[in-house]
Amino acid sequence: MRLKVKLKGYMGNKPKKKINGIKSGKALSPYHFFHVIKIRKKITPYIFIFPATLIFMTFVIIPTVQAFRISLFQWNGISPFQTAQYVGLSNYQELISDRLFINAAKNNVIWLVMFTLLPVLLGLGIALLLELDIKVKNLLKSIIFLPTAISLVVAGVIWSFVYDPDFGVLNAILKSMELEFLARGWLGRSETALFAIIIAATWISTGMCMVILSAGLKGIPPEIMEAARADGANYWQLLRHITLPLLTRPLVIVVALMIINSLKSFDIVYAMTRGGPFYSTDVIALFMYRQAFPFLRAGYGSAVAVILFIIILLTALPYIRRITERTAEY
Amino acid sequence: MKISRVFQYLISITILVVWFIPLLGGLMGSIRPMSEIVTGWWNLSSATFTTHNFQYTWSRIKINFLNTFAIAIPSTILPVLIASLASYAFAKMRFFGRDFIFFSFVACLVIPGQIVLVPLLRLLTNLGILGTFPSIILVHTGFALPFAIFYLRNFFAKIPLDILDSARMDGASEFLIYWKILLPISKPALASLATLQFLWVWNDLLFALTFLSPETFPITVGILNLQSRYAPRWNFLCAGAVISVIPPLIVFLLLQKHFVKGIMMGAIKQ
Repeated sequence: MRLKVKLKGYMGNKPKKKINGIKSGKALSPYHFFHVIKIRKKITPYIFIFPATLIFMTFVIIPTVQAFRISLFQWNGISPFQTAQYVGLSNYQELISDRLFINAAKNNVIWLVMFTLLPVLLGLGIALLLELDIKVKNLLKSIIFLPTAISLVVAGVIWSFVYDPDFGVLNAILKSMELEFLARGWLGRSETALFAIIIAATWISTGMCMVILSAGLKGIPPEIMEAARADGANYWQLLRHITLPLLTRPLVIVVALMIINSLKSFDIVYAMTRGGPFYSTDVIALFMYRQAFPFLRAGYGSAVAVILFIIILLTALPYIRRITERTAEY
Repeated sequence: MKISRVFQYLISITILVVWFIPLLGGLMGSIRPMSEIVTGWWNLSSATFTTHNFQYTWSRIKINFLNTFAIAIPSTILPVLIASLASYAFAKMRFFGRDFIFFSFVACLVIPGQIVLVPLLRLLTNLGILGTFPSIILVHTGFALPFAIFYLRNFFAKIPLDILDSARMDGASEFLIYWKILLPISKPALASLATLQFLWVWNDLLFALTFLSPETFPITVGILNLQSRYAPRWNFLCAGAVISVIPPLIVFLLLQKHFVKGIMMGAIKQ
């Protein structure tokens, strides 16, 4: 049974069919209601966004708001919420003076700095390298980008193998280069563990940076380069005054991505050291997980998560705004 | 630039080698017996190869491997469908609150997974689905939406209105337009998004650890269970790593073009 749908304004002055129930004064069934064009046009968008909004609200927005609320309580996460005690902001007060938390935060800062510099610089360097015509270009591209597809857990396992003091490649290479004194238990010593993990994480993420920056490089019109070269600029001048400024947008994107990822890092640390030795590789995300689950301090853990969220928000929002600025042009 | 040519080659080769070593180590560790790994897998002179590692590891990990599919496939299809539906509305329809809601979705890109662990644990328990596949599928879907909607909406916005308008004039409903016209045209974007999402879910650890149970753990957790407290059993760990990497690798290699395009389109407006 098809309902003939007349589109007003397209067909000119045709006699109106009695679909428009409002005008005829008849009682409306939902079926007819829906097929009134005007109403249908208005409702359809909302129907389309309904599933997404529903799932998003239920599983992301509302829990996030609840997390804020839970952080004001002391609760073990298991017994019914009624047994939780309201403690106001004392969870946060405890956090500020919690030495382990400060330690984790410090590690995140180190991570953030290194993780923003290393993969970006490496990615940029490799992208630039790829611009110059080399035969192994595609192979290089694929191999460097490949780790992005590997899970952080697998990468953690593989790199733990590299770092193994007795059977790992790293120490073997050092020994063969007569640098045996440098060989050590990379993941077992507090001084080196964190950096070892960050190197592994860099191995994974450089590919992503490289791809994005490569695309940015391709977007630079060759005419500009030609003109500058005709004016007598050498490679480094080209780089500094033309390439880099034109790469600002991709660079911003890449830096934003790296910042957000460094703050969220959990998987690879959990896989490689679980936060040890002696919490030297502990990061905020891991700290939160530990508080909430083995330690059963759901309120405290939620407070950590809230702080993590706020930190990410503050550091990432300026970048996100810049990215979405352009797309607002529609 | 001739001298620097050699230089470039040198650097390229060095980078290639350095990048490849960890992968090679993992591969070697999985196909050689522990006794040889102990003396260094790079000693190729007396190399013997074995499938024992894989046999043992597979028997332990088979469940996790299958679980991961059960999780990843719905967690890819569902967000893509839902997000494309919503993105169509955001891109091509006008309605009150459109921009506000859209930007709200996008802004939520910054929400870390950690923050919802505790509240969702409670919600999922109340819904009675904690530890089952539907629970984590829904969570993954929810968190996939910000990026998916952002990405698809940008793509849809570039589709010329004529095609859609002519269909509208022929009297097609919006849903029909969506299903029969928009989706087929958007196959590249949908493929890129699906690839990204599949890899993301396949490699997830945090949600899996929190919301699932030993019967439903994916391989990310399965591999961790292979770790022993004392001497690491590299042969089994490497075998597990290889096993868990094969599907993403296949997806990656087959769809590499889409994958790269996906990242680029999501990251840079052309």
